[in-house]
Amino acid sequence: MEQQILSTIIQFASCTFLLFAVLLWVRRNGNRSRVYFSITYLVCGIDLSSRIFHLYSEVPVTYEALHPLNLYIALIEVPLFLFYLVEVVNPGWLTWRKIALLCLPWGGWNIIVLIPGFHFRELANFGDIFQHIGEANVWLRLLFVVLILPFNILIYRVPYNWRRSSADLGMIRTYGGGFVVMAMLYICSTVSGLMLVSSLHLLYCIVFCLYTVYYELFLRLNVPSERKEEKHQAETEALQPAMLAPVAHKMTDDETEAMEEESPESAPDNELWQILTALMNDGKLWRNPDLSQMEFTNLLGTNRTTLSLVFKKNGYAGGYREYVNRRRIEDFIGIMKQHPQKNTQEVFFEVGYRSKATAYRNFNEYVGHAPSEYFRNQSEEI
Amino acid sequence: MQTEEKLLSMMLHFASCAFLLAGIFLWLRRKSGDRARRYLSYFCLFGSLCFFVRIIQNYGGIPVASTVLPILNLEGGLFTIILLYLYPIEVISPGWLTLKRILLMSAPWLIIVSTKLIAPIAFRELHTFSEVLQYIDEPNVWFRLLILLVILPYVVMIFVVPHSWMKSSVSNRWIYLYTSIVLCISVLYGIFMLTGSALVSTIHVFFFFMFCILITYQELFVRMRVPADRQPKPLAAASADRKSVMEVSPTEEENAHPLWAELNRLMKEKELWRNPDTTQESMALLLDVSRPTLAAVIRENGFSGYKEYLNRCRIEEFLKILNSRQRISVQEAFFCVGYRSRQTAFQYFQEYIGCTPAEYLNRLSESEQKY
Repeated sequence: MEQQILSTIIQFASCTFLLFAVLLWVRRNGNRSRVYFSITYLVCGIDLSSRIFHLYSEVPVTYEALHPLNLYIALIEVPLFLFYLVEVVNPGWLTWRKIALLCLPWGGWNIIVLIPGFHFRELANFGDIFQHIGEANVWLRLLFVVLILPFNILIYRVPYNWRRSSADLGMIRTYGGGFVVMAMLYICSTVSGLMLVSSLHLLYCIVFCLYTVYYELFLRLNVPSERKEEKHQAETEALQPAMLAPVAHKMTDDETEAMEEESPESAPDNELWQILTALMNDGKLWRNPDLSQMEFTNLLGTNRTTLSLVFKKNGYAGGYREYVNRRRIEDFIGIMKQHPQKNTQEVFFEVGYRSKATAYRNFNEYVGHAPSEYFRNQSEEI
Repeated sequence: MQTEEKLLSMMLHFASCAFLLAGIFLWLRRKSGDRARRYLSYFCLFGSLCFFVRIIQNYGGIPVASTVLPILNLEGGLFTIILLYLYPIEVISPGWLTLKRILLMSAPWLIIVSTKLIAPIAFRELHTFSEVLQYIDEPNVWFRLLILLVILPYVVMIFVVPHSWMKSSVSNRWIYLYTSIVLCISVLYGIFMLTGSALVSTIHVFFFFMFCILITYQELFVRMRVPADRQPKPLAAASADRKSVMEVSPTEEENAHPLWAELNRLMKEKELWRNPDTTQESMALLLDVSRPTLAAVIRENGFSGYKEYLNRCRIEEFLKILNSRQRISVQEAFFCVGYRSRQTAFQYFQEYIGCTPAEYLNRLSESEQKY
């Protein structure tokens, strides 16, 4: 039973990876991250197809703990997967030197495998590993397996700037987390030598890959080309939100005075609303995909309950999210009206979206049409 | 297991997986497509299920291919083929497929399933083709043969559906290609059903696998959507002030071949390039000359051949639409000038203009800002 499940999943995984490798390669469009992704899947697919041939060669399916070849593939797979994520988070950060550095453990393993006369003992399960832990070939293998973990942390360490990246913090957390879970499952399966754990690991890989490929092909907004070039400018701009707070507060002093005269009853709420709009308008804060409600409340100097109350009073039943998204769509329509020839997706990127699906959904929700329909109707009215 | 059976088992796994992936992708992208995409998604998911049932059976100890005309397989096959035809019909003529027509199409399958339910027949297990011939007079055997024969006439459906290139996102070439591949699959299926050979089944599944990948890729990335309102009005206005047919290409009005003048006039007036199904033959027929003569005239005037001439016409018209500042998406404009494949359109645009449409638009808005 276990063998059958494992063999089915191996074949499914192999097919999935090979198909995705071809698909990403065909759709690469000069996009470096897709090339990395395609290579990743190709290596996975080839590795698994070789295991399929093993499956069909009459030998009963066995699963060894810490198989040297298995480790070999894993050590190259982990950095490859990382290349894709890094390229998305910070395009262009990955230089040849960094690539070489990340592949170092794999290179080290290569040297060990190539040492003549180095024999690997066959290990069936965790107990075996424990028993022979003193042998060099066993503890070396364990050491390399453990090396996989620090790799995962790297994804959170890559310098990230939302102005030049097609990822937002939510995406980095989701994919980084998913990736860490994948590595953990791999370590569990290879150390325990259990078929069931291995099946689980592969199944997880399939689902994770389906999700990431879907994201890559249909959801990710590409960074507009001019954004990639103006690096230095963007870096100085990144400081802007932090400097904004005092400016906003100074402005409000004058406004509070004006406000108090006008409507004394609803003064505190209204005042907050004024500050909020001024703050938003000044820094065009909605353009930052990572600005959360928490940060925004801190910037304003109030608490969450008050803020959501203010939003509701002013007609945003959906609270902070709705407000920000409405501003984004407003901004989007403004830009599109000024420059009708601009690429829709680049403008969506500009106003702070990092997912095509969300952008289109919000547009539909607030305007009532798809963007293309909306602008066609507009031109007809003229 | 023999080599053939191993191959078949592997192919079944791959096909089941590919169909499942295709089905999931199409389902996830259903909102950005039309109804046809949903039909294709249903087909892929059902196909995956069919293959998966065979895989499970195999693990249960039943050989992958041993019996001839198994009734379960026949029913599945018939239903798959019906699902398979929903997609092209919806693509060729959007909206033609009503619920009534769908029910009518699946009537044979419904009849077979209901008769099986009402009057349970004991189906004899057959192992070779000669056994089929031996027991041909038994009702349960010729009934099954009948089901197999029902599968073929469905091909005719595609040619019955009214097709108009103005409203459809495919050209005649696509229809022929699709139909012939489906016919191939049906024939292979028929042979497999009659012989029960593992090798034929492997080829059949492989063919199906490739077909599924290609058609899904085509649906997701190549096929264009028909613009919501097929209104040629603003385009006609834009084309009124056309001066020469070719601005992007070398032309001489004087001392031209009479046939060349005639060809240009015809292209200008009838806008033949808007039809994706225009071929060199149909054009030669309209001009009443032979195909080589037409090709020679086109070549004399500086084009590498008919294809380049036609595509330059299209790209030129496309540029006019872009320059006229209509709020129309690039894809809709491509559709209007006669392209039915995103890839081909982009490829020709790049070849003749030297940049992508997006880059061209960027430059256009930049130059506009300067003035």
